[in-house]
Amino acid sequence: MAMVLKPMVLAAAAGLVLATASAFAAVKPGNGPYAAADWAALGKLPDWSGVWVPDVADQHRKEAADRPPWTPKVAAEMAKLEAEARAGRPFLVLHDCLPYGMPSLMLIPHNSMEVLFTPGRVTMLGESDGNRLRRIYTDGRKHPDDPDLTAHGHSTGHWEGDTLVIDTIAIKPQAYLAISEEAGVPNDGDAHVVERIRLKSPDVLADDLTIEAPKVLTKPWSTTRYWTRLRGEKNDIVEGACVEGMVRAGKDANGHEVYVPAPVSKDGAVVPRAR
Amino acid sequence: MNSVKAIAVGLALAAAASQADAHHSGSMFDPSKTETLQGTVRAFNWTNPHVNVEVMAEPEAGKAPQLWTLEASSPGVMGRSGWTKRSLNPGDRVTVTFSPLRDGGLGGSLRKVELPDGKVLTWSTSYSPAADAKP
Repeated sequence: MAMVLKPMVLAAAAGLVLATASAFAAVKPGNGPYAAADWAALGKLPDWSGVWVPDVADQHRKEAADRPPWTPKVAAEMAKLEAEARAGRPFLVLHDCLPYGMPSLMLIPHNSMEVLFTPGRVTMLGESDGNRLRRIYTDGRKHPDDPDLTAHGHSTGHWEGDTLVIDTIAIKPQAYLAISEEAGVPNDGDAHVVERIRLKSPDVLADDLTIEAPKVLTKPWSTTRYWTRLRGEKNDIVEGACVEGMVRAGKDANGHEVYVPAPVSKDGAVVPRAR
Repeated sequence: MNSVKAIAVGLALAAAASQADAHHSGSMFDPSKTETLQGTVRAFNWTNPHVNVEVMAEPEAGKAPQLWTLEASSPGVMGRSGWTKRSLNPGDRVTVTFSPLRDGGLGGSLRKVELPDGKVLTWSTSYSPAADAKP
């Protein structure tokens, strides 16, 4: 008994960092190569398999109940956007089918995602468009000194026990900080997101986000988003491309199967006629 | 240089204006209202980001038939509510229930479809893990 207890006490004294370090001691920054032990070590991580669907009702509740500390200028802009949405003239944050960008990808999605663990990496694959994708490097690397800016930024992560801690920088200034599909503003630069993601209950993943966006927020904003786990083949992630909504199947002059522009109305819905 | 840039921007805007905003918010629809109509499915577009069904509504006496477009969620979301690309087919006689466009256009957010054989199709973005555990 004492033989068993002693290592446990030691581990507790050293904190959870010890367990994390032992699980990934062999992983070095730089995309492998990885040995069988590195793959085996993934078995010590929590089970995040399955299809995760966002809690959209909770997102909607938080539009009112958990608002970002907008700067006064942006707060006025948001009030206008929300009034327009209520009047049925929504500004369309996602209209161009460009990537959501961080942190909107975690704040306002209506579609599912899956999370893959490989040595040195956590990968999030979103549904409904191929660019709903995050690569989170857990191989101990640092952020690049002069990173190219991307919609979803550069993410490094590490495990603190069963919690994945992610640090994301290098987000394009054009990426929206949005609280709904009709209310958001470009972050305008220097956005930084820290996330702590863990299983809140057996089938609920909680993402605690702390968002710094100094051009549009007066202080960091902390909020949480939830995802519910589904299993079973009927819930498999479906391939998709957002731009499919702009086209329909048709024929070209040679009779080949091609896409042709979809009929649209001024509001962007495929609603072809005025009443 | 500036004029070239201006032309490029102008072209981009023109292209944008003539194209669909493929992914849009649902707030162009009024969730506080519910309308129902009967008609015939002209097309069932099982596509991202939003599935939609085109329904030729039965005309009122003396009026021309109207083509309505009723929109739902993505194939992934719809699939988890039991829909498939074969759930509706051109020629199907349907009764559709929807939240209409706020601007009075011929469209809405689809809530329910009733088929002549009594089959009822609905969908939701809320899930219960336990209920969905089986394939």
